[in-house]
Amino acid sequence: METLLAFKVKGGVLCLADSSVNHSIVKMKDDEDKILEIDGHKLLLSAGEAGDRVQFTEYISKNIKLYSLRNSYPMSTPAAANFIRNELATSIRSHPYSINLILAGYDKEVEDGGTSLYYMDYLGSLQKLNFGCHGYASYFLLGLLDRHHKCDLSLEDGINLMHLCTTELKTRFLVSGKYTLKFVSSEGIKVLPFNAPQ
Amino acid sequence: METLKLSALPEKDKQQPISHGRFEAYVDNGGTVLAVAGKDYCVIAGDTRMSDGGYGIQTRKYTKIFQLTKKCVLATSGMQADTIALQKRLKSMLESFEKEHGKPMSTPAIAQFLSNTLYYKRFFPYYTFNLVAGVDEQGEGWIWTYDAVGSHERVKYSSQGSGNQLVIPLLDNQVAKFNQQIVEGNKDVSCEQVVSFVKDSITSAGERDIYTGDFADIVVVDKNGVHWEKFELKLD
Amino acid sequence: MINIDFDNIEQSQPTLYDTLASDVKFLNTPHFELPPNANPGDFLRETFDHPSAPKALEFAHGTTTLAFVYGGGIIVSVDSKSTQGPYVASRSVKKVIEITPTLLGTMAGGAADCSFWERELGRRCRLYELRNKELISVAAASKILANIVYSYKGYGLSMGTMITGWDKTGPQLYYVDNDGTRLHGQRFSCGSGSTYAYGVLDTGFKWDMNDEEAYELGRRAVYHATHRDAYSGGAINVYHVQKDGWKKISSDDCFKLYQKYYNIVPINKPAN
Repeated sequence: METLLAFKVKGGVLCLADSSVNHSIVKMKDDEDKILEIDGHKLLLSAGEAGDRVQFTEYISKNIKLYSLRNSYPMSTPAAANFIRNELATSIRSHPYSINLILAGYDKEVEDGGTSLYYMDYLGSLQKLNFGCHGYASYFLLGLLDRHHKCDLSLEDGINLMHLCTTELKTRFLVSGKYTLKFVSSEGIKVLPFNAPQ
Repeated sequence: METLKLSALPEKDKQQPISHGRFEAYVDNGGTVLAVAGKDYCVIAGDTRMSDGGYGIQTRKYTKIFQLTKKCVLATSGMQADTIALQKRLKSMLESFEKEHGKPMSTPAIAQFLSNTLYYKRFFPYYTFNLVAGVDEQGEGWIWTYDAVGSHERVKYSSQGSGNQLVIPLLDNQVAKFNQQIVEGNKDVSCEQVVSFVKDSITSAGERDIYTGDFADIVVVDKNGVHWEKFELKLD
Repeated sequence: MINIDFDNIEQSQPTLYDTLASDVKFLNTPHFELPPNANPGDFLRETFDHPSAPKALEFAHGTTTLAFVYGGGIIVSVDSKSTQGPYVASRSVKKVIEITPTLLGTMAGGAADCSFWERELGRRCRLYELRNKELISVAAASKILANIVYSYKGYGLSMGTMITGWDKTGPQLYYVDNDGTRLHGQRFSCGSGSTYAYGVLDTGFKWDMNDEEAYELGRRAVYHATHRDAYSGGAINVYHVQKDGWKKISSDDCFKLYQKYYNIVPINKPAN
């Protein structure tokens, strides 16, 4: 019942994740941050099996940090995406991590204005997209985003689109809760205040 | 030209790989053990029947109580093979402890040690239900009661095994005085009284539990060491 | 002068003594034995899920536990019943585990799993203290436990525990369970009675309660859980964590709390 959503806007990527941790019927927590800031210009959204999520994303972010220390330049977002995919794909035969991911980042060298967004699932598939969504929410949001999303939306319009998405989830989706919203662009990462419709 | 022959469909069973049968890791050989601790002694009782997991009796003379040190015994019901494995392991470890340290392990230390030994088999447990009974460094009597994987608690009385559910209410009422309207003043009962009560308890278990019977070992642990006694139960 | 040819030392066959010695050494080294034929997590279920199998092993289980942070520190409140299936194995279990003089853990799920691993956690925290001349943070301690249980994921461990304490960063509360989840938070409850306890705890919580109100809230929450959940009961133990360590506040029998809360004179007055 977890929701991950990210799409490109002009100059950056907007990322939204639900912030609840549930165990069977109990809501254990409603302020969990599922958008990990890997470095100054990368966000990793994760959802999936309890335990696996934190263990895997911490392992990934520490290794990317190690790469930047060894080479004295940060790992690019495409390289990071392929590294993560490779880790998922090699571990699936022995110790599978049941987690779905979205990686968003900004690199000077990358085309399309420097922003990139990668969609990954627990089986190791990897796809570069303009918007991506994980969880049951995708059944409600993908159509909406096909209709409304454009890559050259302003940040303000982007945030409005996020509100449109969460309003739709509130209207039609069985579960609802709080969300975390972050924005990555050439200026780095910003945590944006986000009040979902109650 | 050869004619096309019609034949019966291959039997499904013949296509199956050869079955080697199930691996049966456990059998419950039954039996009841119980123990009551007093101020400076412990009384432990265990029947000596060993059943085959069903209605059959394999022997009437299998003692479930094992002496660990001069101050401490282990009473075990459950699976006899696992019981022996556990007793051998504990004996070996306690001997090497005594050689290394020049003194036997204390009873509370043995209690914790048994817990760890059981837990190291957490993923393939010993099918055993244990009581450790003995006197501690101050000479006070205590019982430690366990589940199969080492969860334990220090108590003044307990029982384990197939007759457990019959014996425990009796001990609750007579030893802890649960739900008694009139509790007489003196709680320090003598060792002789406890031995007699423990004999009654194991006899009662033998009356109503088919896995308990034949004989009972009655063991007293106090400052003089471990004293064994045999006691007759019903043979049917 | 003796010349020793180090390149050509004769290899002797291992004697019976050598073999025995290595067996004894193996036995004396703590290690986990795994079932020979099955995935560790499935072994017990497969073994006992069979018509001719002996009576299934029932491990002792723990039940309603809670902990919350408020203005005056942290309250930990637990029941004391231990059950093996429907059988009440004990009514006097200590479900608050005193890990170190500054850290507390709680027990829900498998009793052996909780007490063994929290004892091991206590050992590691003490080693940390000796090596670093500083108390371990609650964050680090809870992470040690989370990493241990995560490494045994799929092996069938069962534990839901709150790790609490007061470190440099103030009062801290973490929830750790057997699938590797580790959460930081203000209020947690665990076990089969947890939903009932949450109902009382969440509605009665105020940040600026005084200590007595906080103890009573913890006690009440677990009391109502013991009343609705048959797997919970016995006595209710309340602990208070403050800057200088933890302190045991009270231990009350559920039945006596029932008489007190509802002002009931028992029909058959128990003698003790």
